[in-house]
Amino acid sequence: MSHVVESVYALRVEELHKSFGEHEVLCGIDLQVHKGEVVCVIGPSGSGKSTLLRCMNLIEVPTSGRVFIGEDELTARRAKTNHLRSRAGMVFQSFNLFPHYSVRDNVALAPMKVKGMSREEAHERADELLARVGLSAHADKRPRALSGGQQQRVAIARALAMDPEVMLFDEATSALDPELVVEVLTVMRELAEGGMTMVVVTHEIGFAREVGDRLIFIDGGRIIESGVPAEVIANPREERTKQFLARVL
Amino acid sequence: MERLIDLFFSWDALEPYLPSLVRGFWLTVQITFISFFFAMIGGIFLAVLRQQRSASPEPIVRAAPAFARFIAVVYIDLMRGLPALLVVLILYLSLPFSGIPLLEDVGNVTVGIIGLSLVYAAYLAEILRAGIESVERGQVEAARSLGMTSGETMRKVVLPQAIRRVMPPLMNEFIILSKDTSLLTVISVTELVGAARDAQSQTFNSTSLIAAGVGYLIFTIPLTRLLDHYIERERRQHGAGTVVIP
Repeated sequence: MSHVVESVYALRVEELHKSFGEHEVLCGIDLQVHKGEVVCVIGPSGSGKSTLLRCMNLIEVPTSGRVFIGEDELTARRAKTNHLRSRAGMVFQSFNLFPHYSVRDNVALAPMKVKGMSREEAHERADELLARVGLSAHADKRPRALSGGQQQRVAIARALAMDPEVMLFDEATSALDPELVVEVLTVMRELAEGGMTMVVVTHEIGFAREVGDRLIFIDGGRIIESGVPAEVIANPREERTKQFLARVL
Repeated sequence: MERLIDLFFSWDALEPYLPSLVRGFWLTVQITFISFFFAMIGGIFLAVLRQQRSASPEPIVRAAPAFARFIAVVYIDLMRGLPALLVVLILYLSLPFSGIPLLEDVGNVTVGIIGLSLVYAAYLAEILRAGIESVERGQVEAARSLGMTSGETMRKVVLPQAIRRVMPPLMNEFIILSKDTSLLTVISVTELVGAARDAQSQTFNSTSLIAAGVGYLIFTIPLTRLLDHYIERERRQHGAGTVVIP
């Protein structure tokens, strides 16, 4: 008799190592992200936090270690990488919208190509998602015509169009002017409240404290400290965490 | 003086040959477009071949893209290094004896188109490669993170942007190709130059050659104007190009 065990984890990383040449950026990371959990990752620049996130959907190929989305191993020898990748949506610091497509087509492209949706279906879904991030009025424009904050909201809608089980945010607000940060954080907060599983690499300590379920501090390619955000921020146990927080707060 | 004018601008000498010159012009236009079409297909194929990389750490898996790159590089070096005329001649003089079913009895025009396509594919490949490399890495990352395959990413995301960026040099190659079609006179294709040469050898009057020149200009000058217009439009839209600060 067999039965399928429903995993409680949306994403798991085991013993993850990543080296660029001689330089080891990630030195054995273990991380489990529960369904519906919002994990915020902080750390100094060069600490490996972005690389960790990029390894989570194999945009960066780990040197060793395993990555699971749900119960499926992305790093498995015969993994259907393309399909598995689409189950983790990614939002980049530099938006990376496709400049030669309209905003609507940016959102609709992957559902058409990967999910085999018809054009009408994909456009309908795109319009829904654009409404959700408050950009219905801009659907026919090129990304270039939008502000940074608007572009990033389109990028979030584009990732959501694949109905991902987990969303990965790679410093999603770092390239934005201060007054545009809020609109993106608001969308991210709404996503979290809607029960989306999220891994958020960020410099926004306030966001981590208010929205995050867990805060992870990474330095030198290792997880130095992990815990409830408010507690880690108020009473960091490790010296390095203290030093880092003292600098950014 | 009158003799010179008559030598180059004699309507009477030109008139009987106008129909054949027009046919030659039309053939030149056709050969140019068809060759460029196949050269683009070949060029895209070669450029993509040259871009093959494997992220796999295993040497055996890495060997396949390395071999693909090697093939592309050898082909491009070969075709760029040889005169187009030689390539066309080799094909023209060898294919009839090759015993290869379909290629054995193709006509002169087809041989010419094959030759020019093969050579220009190599030139276009290098231009397209520069275009592909100019597309930001983040574009590929975004497409792949959405689950698109590398092929879909290339077709839908990278190539459209790459081709747009290298439009000026591509158009340039198109113009050079339109003129290189005249090489096919040596394999007795009566395109524009061939037709003019035939007329001249009958009349010993050079007006037909001048007319052929005019024919090329009618074809190429609008294209260069179009190209300038395109560059200007891109500049206005994307703010690329020379900056003028008053």
